[in-house]
Amino acid sequence: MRTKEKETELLKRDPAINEDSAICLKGLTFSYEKGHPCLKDVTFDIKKGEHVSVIGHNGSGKSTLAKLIDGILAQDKGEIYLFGVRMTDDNAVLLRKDIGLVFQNPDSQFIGATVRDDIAFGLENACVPTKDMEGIIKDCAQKVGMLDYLNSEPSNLSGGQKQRVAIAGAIARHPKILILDEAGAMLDPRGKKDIQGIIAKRKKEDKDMTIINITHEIDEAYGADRVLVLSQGCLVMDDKPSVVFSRDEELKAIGLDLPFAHKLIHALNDRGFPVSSVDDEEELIKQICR
Amino acid sequence: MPIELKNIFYTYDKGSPNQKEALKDINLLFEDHCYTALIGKTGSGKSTLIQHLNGLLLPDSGSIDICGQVIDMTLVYKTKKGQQVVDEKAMKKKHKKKLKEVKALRKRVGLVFQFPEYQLFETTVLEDVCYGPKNFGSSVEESQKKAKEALALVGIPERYYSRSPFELSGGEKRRVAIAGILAMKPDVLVLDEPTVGLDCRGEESLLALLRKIYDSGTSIILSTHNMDVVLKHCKKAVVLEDGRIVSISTPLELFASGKYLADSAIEPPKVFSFAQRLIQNGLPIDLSRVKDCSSLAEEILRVKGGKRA
Amino acid sequence: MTMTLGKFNNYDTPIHRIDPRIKLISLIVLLVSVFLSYGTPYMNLVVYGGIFVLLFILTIVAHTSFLLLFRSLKALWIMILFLLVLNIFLPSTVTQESMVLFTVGSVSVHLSTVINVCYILLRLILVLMMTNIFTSTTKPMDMTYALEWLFYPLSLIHFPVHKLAMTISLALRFIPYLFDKTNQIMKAQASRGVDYHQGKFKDKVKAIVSTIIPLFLSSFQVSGELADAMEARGYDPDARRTRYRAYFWSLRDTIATIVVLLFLAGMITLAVLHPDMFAAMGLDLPR
Repeated sequence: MRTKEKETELLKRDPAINEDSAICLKGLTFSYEKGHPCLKDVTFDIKKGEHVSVIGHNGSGKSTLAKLIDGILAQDKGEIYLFGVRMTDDNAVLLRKDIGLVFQNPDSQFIGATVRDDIAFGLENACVPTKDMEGIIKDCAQKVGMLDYLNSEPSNLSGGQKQRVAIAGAIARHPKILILDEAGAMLDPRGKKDIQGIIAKRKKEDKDMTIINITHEIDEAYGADRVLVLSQGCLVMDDKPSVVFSRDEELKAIGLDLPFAHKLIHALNDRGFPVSSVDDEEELIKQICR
Repeated sequence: MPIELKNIFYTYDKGSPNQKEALKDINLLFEDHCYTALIGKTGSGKSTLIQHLNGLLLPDSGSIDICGQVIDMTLVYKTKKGQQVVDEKAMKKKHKKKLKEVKALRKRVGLVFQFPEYQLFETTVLEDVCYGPKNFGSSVEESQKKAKEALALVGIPERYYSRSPFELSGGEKRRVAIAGILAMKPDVLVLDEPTVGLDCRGEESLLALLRKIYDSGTSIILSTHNMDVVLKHCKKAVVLEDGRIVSISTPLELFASGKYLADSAIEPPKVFSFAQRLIQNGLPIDLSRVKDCSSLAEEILRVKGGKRA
Repeated sequence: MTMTLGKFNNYDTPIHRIDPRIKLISLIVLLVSVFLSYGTPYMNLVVYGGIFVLLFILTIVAHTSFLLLFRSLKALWIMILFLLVLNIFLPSTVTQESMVLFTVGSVSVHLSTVINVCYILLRLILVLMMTNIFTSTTKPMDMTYALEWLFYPLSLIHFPVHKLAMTISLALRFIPYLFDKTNQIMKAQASRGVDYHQGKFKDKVKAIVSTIIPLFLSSFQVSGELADAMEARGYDPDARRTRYRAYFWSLRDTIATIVVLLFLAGMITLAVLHPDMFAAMGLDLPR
């Protein structure tokens, strides 16, 4: 058994890291195979309560990044600090308590036999007393709109519903950081929209929660406070969405889609019809109809 | 080669407590050299319908004419106590008989499932693509020739032929799997949500490939949630809801009416709704010319008469 | 997926409400009683008949389907036939004084042979009936809990009971998924011309290979992802966990256990003493 003192010792903050930092990476490098780095020298600092989108093509290292932050994988080089605490082999399990991670595949992250049991799984691991569980389970199921399905088995749920349960399971432990690793990628448009709705609601109701949304849907990324762009394992952009998406050429070059308005502006400009870059579609319509 | 479905009904797990009527009275014609989209939310019956097209599922009742080969499962009746009832025994016999005939259909109608990369199993890419033709009796040389043609078509370079299919990237695996179907030289290519899980670049190149296959004379039928694909590529859109066909029209008519979209939880493509907003703002855009961003830009220019803002 | 024998049925009957641990113990007790010998063949039949009546009532109370039971028996008919033939030709089962029922050619069929086959059949039916009742009234997770509880003493000798139970419950959870996946892969390969029903032996082997390899690969992938998902939610196989599903041992459970144990004691007594009821009644039945 770990003693309280030992735990405090393991979770000692590094004074060099900013007070308001939630996730700080320094020169993070990782490879699955020797000689083929999957992430190269990634450095960034995400503040508490920030909503960040990570975009990149398939194989750009997005999912690996999520697993490294959660301590499921161990980096080859570099440092990860969660709330100023440097992650080591010894404290990864402790630090993970503050992170809720939702993966892509609805089928392989449903652990319990029913919705209730699946949400309970994380609580059991966190040694939440049995008598408190029912209340937390109901509360979380309600937050993701699955309260009517508590006794359902996964085989009777749609992909979108399973993903909502996965989010409920992730937030049940009251994490300070919520990471969604392409949580909507395998869903139909309705399922994707539901997930986005839940994220938006979480953001509104829990302002301190840091949200990292890994995606390749550009419109999702547009709603974030900040966008990180990964390409071939390197962090190539890190800025506000309006700034990132104004660098159209670079995004196109690394094979990423552009928001619709930007694509249209480009198409018009290419044909000698000048419209200035705008973020608001109404403004764009006005410019075109003028 | 046309495919015609008449009064198709299909129920899963018939007779068990969880039986589900998946298709209800489907009447549908896929013309020769078509490019048709099947649209509908998850569970609307798209996948079930698709599996009828190459005889993987046989209808409970109704008939399907696939390129001239008819799967006739129209109900047989008998009189019992003065009442007309379905002759279950005769239907079972019919079913058994048809089951033997359908194998030949699989060659003419190539079916690519969702995540087709999960069907790869051979030691090399070339061997895997050869598997289909070999199953249909082609000799080794013949299948290799067909496989190489198919691999060239999907854009897999020769140096990959002797590699293991499991070493390839996700997009490449999917191309190899599609080549595995194309090598059988089907007249109709049916795809179940072919773009799911691909990123923007992968999606674009897959659609370009489908265009190429279509242009070479093969019919394409695909199910999708991606309305941009429907608007840009498809000639016809079939909307399914709860096992029934609720609309058959051109994509333009479908999106312009907006009628079945809300029910089926489908949103019209961004470019289409944007063009509609331009019309509301007084720009006389011809919606039939709008396929994607660049065609919308062309159309704006045309309407503006080359007038510069 | 079609309904199969022993799949959990979601009713709320008194049998469903019994604590899974007691159900497991009862199952074991009944299994033991079925495989005990009670002296003469006729006594055995009487006891089996009694158990049959008991199980029959339980089956009805538990809303368990008889139809499925008979269907699974139908599937076993080759085995039954084999047993019959084997018993006829194996002289060891024929007791010397046994009555000859009829003779076909040079083979004579003895009464004791027929009785023997009846036993085996009855035992089979009884075992099927009881496991069917158990599995169709007990949720998989309750079953794993009961198993974990039963094996708990083993953890004293450092046997990983909890890990075993978790493994079983995950396996149970993924059985429907694997069924779906297999179905999907078979359909994909059928679209490439694989014929699972007819063809040469070599083709059939290839057909199986083309199904198994993709199935294995996707299972490995899913298990990897599952492991990540479990780790991400803080699972540590060696750490202490609390339990969401609480099982309280009530008075009713104590009484049920006593009844079950008394039943077992009665059966063992019967087996040890093997009193011949029929002889006591002065009946001399043919052998």
